[in-house]
Amino acid sequence: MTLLRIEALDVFHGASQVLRGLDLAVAGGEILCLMGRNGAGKTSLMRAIMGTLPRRAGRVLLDGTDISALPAHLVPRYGIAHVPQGRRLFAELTVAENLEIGEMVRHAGQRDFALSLFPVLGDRLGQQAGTLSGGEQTMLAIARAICAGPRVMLLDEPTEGLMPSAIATIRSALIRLRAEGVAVLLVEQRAEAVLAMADRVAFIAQGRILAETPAEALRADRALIRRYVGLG
Amino acid sequence: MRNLRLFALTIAVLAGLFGVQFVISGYPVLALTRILILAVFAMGYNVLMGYTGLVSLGHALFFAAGLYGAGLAAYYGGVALPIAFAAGIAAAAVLSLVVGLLALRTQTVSFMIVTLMFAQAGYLATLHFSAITGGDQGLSLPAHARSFSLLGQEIALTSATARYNIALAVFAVVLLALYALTQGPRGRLFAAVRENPERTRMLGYDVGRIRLLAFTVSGTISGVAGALYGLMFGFIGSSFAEFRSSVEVLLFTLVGGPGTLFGPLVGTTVMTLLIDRLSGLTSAYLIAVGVLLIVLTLWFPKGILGTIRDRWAPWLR
Repeated sequence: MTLLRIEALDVFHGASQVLRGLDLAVAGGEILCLMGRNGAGKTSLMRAIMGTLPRRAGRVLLDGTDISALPAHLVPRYGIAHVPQGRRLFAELTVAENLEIGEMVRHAGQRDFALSLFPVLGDRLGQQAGTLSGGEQTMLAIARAICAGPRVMLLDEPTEGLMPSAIATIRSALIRLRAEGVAVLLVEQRAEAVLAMADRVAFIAQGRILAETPAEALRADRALIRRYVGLG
Repeated sequence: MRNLRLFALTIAVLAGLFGVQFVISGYPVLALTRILILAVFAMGYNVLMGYTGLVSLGHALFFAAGLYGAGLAAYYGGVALPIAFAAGIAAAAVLSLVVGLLALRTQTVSFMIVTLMFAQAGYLATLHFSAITGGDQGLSLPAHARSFSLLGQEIALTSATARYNIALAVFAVVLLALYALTQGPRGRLFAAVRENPERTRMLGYDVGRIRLLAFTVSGTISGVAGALYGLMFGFIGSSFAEFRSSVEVLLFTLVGGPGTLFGPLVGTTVMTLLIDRLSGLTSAYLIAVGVLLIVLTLWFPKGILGTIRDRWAPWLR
């Protein structure tokens, strides 16, 4: 069942149009990877869904409810969580306090679940978030989002620059989220990561979806990735 | 309990402040009374500046609102002191809510300027309406406003002991309330807004409302200090609404350590004693204070307790 649907989305940065009539849908229990070159509109799409980038036209539907007109701070309360590029933790607060801030917004009671996905965080609850390693910080950013009990998760290149062990932990966590019925929209540039966990892949260029394909097709023919985004 | 060590320290400090009156007398009691009241002012300021990351240059306005709200109610209304005290707090609460609604439409430097302008308007109003406020000459509260009865006991504010214990009681209530606020979920949100307002919003929080809450709490506590000061010392005057008061409370907080529970108390104590001592030695004491502030800022940019917290005691916040 489709949880997140984006219809004919037009978004501008000043005078420059960054999304052009973009359509996309993600079902519950699905990982949809979004691939594209820098400047293709991936991050803008996430910001537009979260309401922090104004939409000129189009709609964002969450489980059939139009959330396009909601102020940005209300979007997460409807069950969409966003893990931005660069983590954006509250560095001076502890791990436990970062999780608490994630949890308080919907009182979802997902803290234990989040910690079960990233056990290393359970050993660091009293540690300042800014003193964690890069991989742990990314795990904390994802765990903080999970604490809100989201139905849809948006993740912007969460594995960028991380050690393989951290990438594997994050990958396992996303697969667990999928099993829990969460719809995952993942911006990812690394083909290996995409092929390892995606159900479907959408290619974006110049603010439009060029193509959508089952990940299975990419596994069978990796040249498709090179064809659409020149990655591989 | 969120932060047991900080709570234990809070109780120990309160016990120490209660006990110290049995070993000092005369001027030190008066000085400590004044320090406690000004520390309440700085604690209020710290909610906004230290915990929420908003630098106001106009908090003298809220101190003055409490001062005049309580003082004028006692002077003209002839009401009992507890009611006058409540009137002062209410005046500061309403004013901080209204000013917050307007000033928080701006940020950073604009916010500082807007708060400064509001405070200057308040200061000029106390001068303009001097027929009521007494202007810069001020008003001395009449005899009936210098005592009140509590549980059948008449308490005279001319007594240094009574003044000290009342100031300590108010200080304790504010300190414990701020402990609960800053070490609990609201305190986390204040800190989140201070560190990254945009991310806080993306996590589902209305940053504007959190800032308004911090502003109103901050202004109201500043008003508590103003109301207490006016009633304790029986004098209200426009000098308390001057820009200097706004700068002093900023310095008290900066020196002690913004974003720490005890920073305002430490900063107020250090600065008050320093000014008292230096002013007895030289009329150019403000130059010496300025130099010392520069040294402190260079060596302890996060204030005394902020530095201790960062280096040795992360629980001290």
